[in-house]
Parts: sequence; structure tokens; C-alpha cells
Amino acid sequence: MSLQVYGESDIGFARRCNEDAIAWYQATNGHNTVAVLADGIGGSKGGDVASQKAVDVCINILSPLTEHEALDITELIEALNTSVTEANRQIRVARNSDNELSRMGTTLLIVWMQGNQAFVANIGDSRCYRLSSDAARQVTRDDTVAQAMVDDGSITEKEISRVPFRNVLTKALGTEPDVRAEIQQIFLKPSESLLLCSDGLTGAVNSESWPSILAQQKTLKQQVESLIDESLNNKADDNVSIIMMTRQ
Amino acid sequence: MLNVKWICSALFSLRLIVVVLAVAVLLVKTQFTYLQAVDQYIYLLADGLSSPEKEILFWPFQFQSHVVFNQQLTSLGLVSPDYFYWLEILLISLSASFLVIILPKLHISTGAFLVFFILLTLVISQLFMLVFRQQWLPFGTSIEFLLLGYLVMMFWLNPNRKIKKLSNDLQCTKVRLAKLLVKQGQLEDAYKLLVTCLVEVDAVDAIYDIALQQERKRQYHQAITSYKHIVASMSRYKDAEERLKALEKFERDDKSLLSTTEISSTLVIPDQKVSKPILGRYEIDRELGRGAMGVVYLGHDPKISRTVAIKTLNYSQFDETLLDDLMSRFFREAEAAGRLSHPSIVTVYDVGEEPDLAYIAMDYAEGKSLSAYAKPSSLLSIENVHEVVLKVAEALEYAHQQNIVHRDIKPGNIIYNPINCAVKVTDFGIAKIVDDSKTKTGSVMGSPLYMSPEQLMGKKVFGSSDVYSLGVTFYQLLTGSTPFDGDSIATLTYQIINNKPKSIKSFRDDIPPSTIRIINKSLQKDPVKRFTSAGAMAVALRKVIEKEYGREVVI
Repeated sequence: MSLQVYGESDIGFARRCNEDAIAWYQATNGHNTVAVLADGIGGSKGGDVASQKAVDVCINILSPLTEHEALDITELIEALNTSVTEANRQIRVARNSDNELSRMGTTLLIVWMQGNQAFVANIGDSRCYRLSSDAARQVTRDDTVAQAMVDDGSITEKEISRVPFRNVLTKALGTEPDVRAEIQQIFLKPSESLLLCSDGLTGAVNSESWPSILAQQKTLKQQVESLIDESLNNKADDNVSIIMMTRQ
Repeated sequence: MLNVKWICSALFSLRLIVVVLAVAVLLVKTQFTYLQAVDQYIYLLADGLSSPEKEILFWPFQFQSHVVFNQQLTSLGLVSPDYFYWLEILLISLSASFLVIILPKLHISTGAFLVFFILLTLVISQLFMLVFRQQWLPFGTSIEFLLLGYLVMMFWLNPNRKIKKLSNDLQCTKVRLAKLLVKQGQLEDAYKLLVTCLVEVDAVDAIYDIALQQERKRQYHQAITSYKHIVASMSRYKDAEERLKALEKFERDDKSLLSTTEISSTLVIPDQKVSKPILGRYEIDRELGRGAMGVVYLGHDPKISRTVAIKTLNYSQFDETLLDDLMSRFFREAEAAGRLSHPSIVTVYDVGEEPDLAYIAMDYAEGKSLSAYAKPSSLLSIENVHEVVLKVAEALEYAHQQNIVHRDIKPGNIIYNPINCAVKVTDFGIAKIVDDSKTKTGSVMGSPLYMSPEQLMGKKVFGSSDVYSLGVTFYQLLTGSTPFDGDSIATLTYQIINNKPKSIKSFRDDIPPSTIRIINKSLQKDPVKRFTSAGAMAVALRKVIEKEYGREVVI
């Protein structure tokens, strides 16, 4: 089975600049693949700088490792943590050196796939879903105030949309000196694929409708584009970025 | 460009023909016998006058050849004096100048009369010299030239007068229309119209007015264009050049601030040479501070010389798609707040809109916000705090009865005047305007420190939510600390929803037990367990003040 990966990032319907950044790297033998997605924050200043920096740092550190045939899990987790720490450090250096960028930060989602295993490292509210033919299930947990309130039982999932600080992140890259990503290991069934997205997609297209939209398309590229088109049809008010990874 | 136009209109004008005619007459007169016709006729007339007995045939006129006539003159000893050659050149030049320069400026009948008068003078002079002085001064050529030139000029003058009148009318109409457009605030259209006008004082005056208004409306770039136009078309016009320089310098120095893109961006108050900015009809004096929506300015209404505080909502911080909705909410809430009239509530006078922002003009309350008295080192006396909180509770009760919930009661939204203990609650309903327009960093929203649990959970809020926030404010004014604190919005939210507040006794022990009961009651998580209304809280406060401090509070 070979791994396929494709992604796109769109400015969306209402934003003046694209603060999302995406990138992926696949080993020459096609086995190991790393995909990174970041959604910058900081109002009008520097969100795009932070997300691009995070993606660049992670790809630089992780892409050479994809060539290793059998990477030890502890080594891999170590590498994921290193890339998060380094990205955080570089963003903070940039924040301190330029007053314009002093409030920037970013979410970060890294997915490392080897065979049927995937390692998902997440900070912030970009999401990773596992897709089957009939459902899209969220793998990551958002680091947002609203999610924290759901977790502590203050509100239910349904009430999230009414909470005033719902989109405020409880964790982001660049905003604190030390930040650690939550890392999960998941095993994919042959029919399952992974979808990484920024909150622009989830805000514009309900995840319940994804399987039916994707089922109409053949190639991975068409599938990604169909979701972006749908979010633009729904006048996505944020940048929309998607990376899909599948085994065939 | 202007010179080329001028040369063209001078070249292809009938006036040039007149000048050419003058030169031609001077050069060729001796070769054309017909040019002597007038002279011969005058000679005949003089002959008739000097010897009335002689029978002279005036009509049909017997025209003699040039040579024969000259011989006749010579035989009679009639020779032109030497100076006549120069006199004739002078006369024809003067006539040409008169026709080309003076005649167009005269009224049509004045012109005709003058020409007739000059012709008559010349004829009489020639006759007089011939009859009484026996001197031959042949003014005939000059007379013919003046007559012919005048006819040519009339061909040009008549249509030209009409064109002039039309273009004058057009200029007047354009300027008047431009002034009307200016009155309607359509500065750009007015400017476009005026630049098509002839460069005359009235048009330049109007452009200057537009430039001034553009300057005050902070359209500095357009103002610079207008001033440049004025300076180019009329040098040393009023203070246009100085204003242009001041603006150019201002724009160079502060370009980033003119293109407002951030919430913290502010109207820059330029130096003295540049007019003070205006918002609607209010002149902006200085910046007072920054609120949840944008910058607050001190301004005044020049018409009734009233000082106002102007809160601005800067559009640039919001995405365009949200703007329409935001604007309608803004005006709806401002309108609701405008209905409130209470001694302890800041009065809203006016709302308005500019291309880049909306604003609310309200009463400028003397004093400082209570946040200046909310730190441990700067607390008011316990008695004063009671009085302040009582006044706010009364104001809230009034607003709640009008179905208006404040939603953002906190020390920063209450203005306190230490001189007369007056209290003014400000920003009614504004929290609702910015409520849904947050950014991920939460910077627009501020802090949840004073928010009630139900507000944080996104439930519908009623007056009881304001009672909770007033309880937090009361707590802070007495202790210098809020009942909950956390290092992040998430932990703070958790504490407000789930935890008990820190005991007020841990801060100080001189607070009356009944006051502590009031605070605890207003800080209940369940809205039902709080005071039934802000009015009920006020009643409880009044009792404490009477009991503890033995006096009544008059509001």
C-alpha cells in the first residue's frame, strides 16, 4: 500500500490575508509522510509569519527523519517535541525582535504517518479527523476555552456556539515560553484516511456532511478541492486549509 | 500648456487679421489708388467749403488717378509735412491697438460711438488743416483702416460676446453646483467639477473650502491633491501653500497611522497648521482613552459649545462581512442607550457614521473611572464605596426597567467625580455590540473578570447578570482584588463558573457583616438566588448605610 497526500490553503471569503500555512513531505520510498498545518493568530499583525515559521521549522526538522526505514516510537515522539519546542522558540524570538509581531502566535498540527500508524501532535484548534466512508471523527481535542468548559462540565457541546470566549485558545505556539503538544498514536483501518484542517473548514462546512461530499470525487486532489469549494459556497469567514492523507 | 493655448487662440483670431491689415495698409497704400478715395473726397469737400460759389459735383464722385491727383496737389503747393509719415504710422498703430485691445472690452454702443467720434475727429482735422492752414494731412488711409478694422472686429466680437456670456454662466453654475455638493458632503464630486472650471477666484475659493473640509475629515490625501491644485493655479492663494506643506509633512511622518488597520489605531490629532479633525459636527480636541470598541475622544459641539466624549468604533478591526450586521447592532444599541435619562447614567446625545468608523457622542462626565480606585493602594473609604455602589444599583434598576441590560458593569465603566461624589455609568449596551466580534486572542473582548457565570456560558442574560457584575465591582472597590483570578481566560472562566469566591474577610476585617452578605448574595452562581433586582440590592445597601453610617443618601 502506498501513501498519498495532498493539501490546499485558501484565503476564504472575508479575510484580507491568509494566516494559514501548510506543508508536507514524503520519503523517497513513499512510506513515511509528515504533514504540518498551522493557523496563525495575532489579529492583523504577524499571524501569517508565525504559521509559516512553525510549518517551516517542523518540516526542516522532521523531513530528514522520514528517510529512516524503522524509526523508534520514542525517537519519533522526541523529534515531534523538539520541532514544537524549536518552532515555539523561533516564534518568540521574532515576537521579541519586532514590535509589530509582538502578539503573533499560531496553532500547530503535525501528523506523521508510517504504514497504518499515525502520530498526531496538536496545539490549538486546528483539527485532525479520521475519515471513513460514512463518518468523520475528530481525533484531536481543541485547546479552546469552550472545549475546556465542556470538559469541566460547565456547558454541553451544543452550547459551544453561544459562549463568548469560545474561540479563545487556551494553548498556542508563541504565546508562552514553554508549550507541549498533545501527541496521540492512532491505527488506521485500510478504508480510513486522515484529514487535517484549520477551523475555517469546520466553521463553514459541518463535518457530518463531509463523507457525502467526498464520495462524489475520485482523486485526492478533487476531494480536497470539493471541500474548499463547499466552504467558499458557504462564505467561509476564515482562511480554509486542508491536507488529506490516504493509503491506497 | 497654458501658453500654447494662448498662442493658438491669438493666432487664429480675427484680431490678427486686423493687425495684418494695419501692416498691409502701411506697406501698400501708395500702390492702390482706391485707398486715396477718402482723401480725394475730403479734398473735394474742402474745395467746396473754401469756394462756395464753385459748382462741385459730389455725386457721382469723379475719381481721379493717383498720379493726376498728386500732381494737382503739388500744383496747388499742397505737400504733406515731413513728420506726416511718422504720424500716419502712429495713427494706424494706435487704431489697431484700439480695435484689438480696447474695443473688445467696451460695450457695443460705446465702441461704436468711440469709433464714430475718432473718425469724425480725423475728418474734421483734415478739413480744418486744409481749409484754414493750407496743409495737406491725408488721414484717409487711417480712416479707411479704422472703418474696415471695426467691421472685421464686429464679425468677431458679436459671437465672442455670446460665448463669453455662456462660459461665464457655466462657470457660475458649476461653482454653485459644487457648493451644493459640498453641502451634501460629496466633496470628491464637487472637486471633480471645480477642476473643470476656469481658473477664477470663485472656483479656487470653492476648492479651498473643499480642501479645508477634507483636511478636517481626515481625508488628508485628497486634501493634499486639492491644495496642490490651488497652488498650481493661483500662486500665494491664502495659506494654501503652508497648509499643503504641513499636510505633506504630516503624511510623511505618520503614514502608518493614516491607514488605520488596528483596534488601537487612533485618529491622529495633527499639529496646529492642520485643521482639527471633525466627526460629524463634533470637533475633536484630544484622545481620552481606549475602550472595548475603539478610541474615545474629547470633542465639542461648536454649534452649542457643548463638550462631549466621543466613542468610536473603528471598522478596520472587523471583517467586512460582519460589518453590516455590526453596524445595525451598533445603531440599535446606541438608540436604546439614547433613551436612558438618569442622573447616574451618561447621556447619549448622538450617533453617526464616517467612512472608516462609527461613533457615539455622549455627555462628558468629569472625574475618573473607578478603576483608579480599584487597587489596594488607592481604595475609597468604605462609606464612599457604599454610596457609589448604591448609585450604580439605582441607575441599573432604572435601565433594567427600560429592558436595557448593561452587560459590562465594571469599575472601568463607572466614572466617579471625587469632588461631589457623582457617579456616571457609561457604555450601556456596548458590550453586546462587540460580543460576537471577537478575535482568537480575545483582545477585543477584554477580560471575563466581571462576567456572570451565565454570561460566560453564553446563556441569555437579564438584569441579574448586571447585579452579579456590580457585586464583583463592589468586592473590588473594597478589597482591591477581584473575587476570582486566574492566569488565563480558561482557568478564570472555570473558577467563575465553579468555585466559591475568596472570602472578603481575608482581605480586611472592617467591613460590616451586612455588606458582606450583600456581596455574597449578588455573587451567587444561580441568578435566582441573587437579589430579585438591582432595586432590591439598592434597598439593602441603603439600609446598611443608614445603619452603619447613620445617614441617608440623596440621589
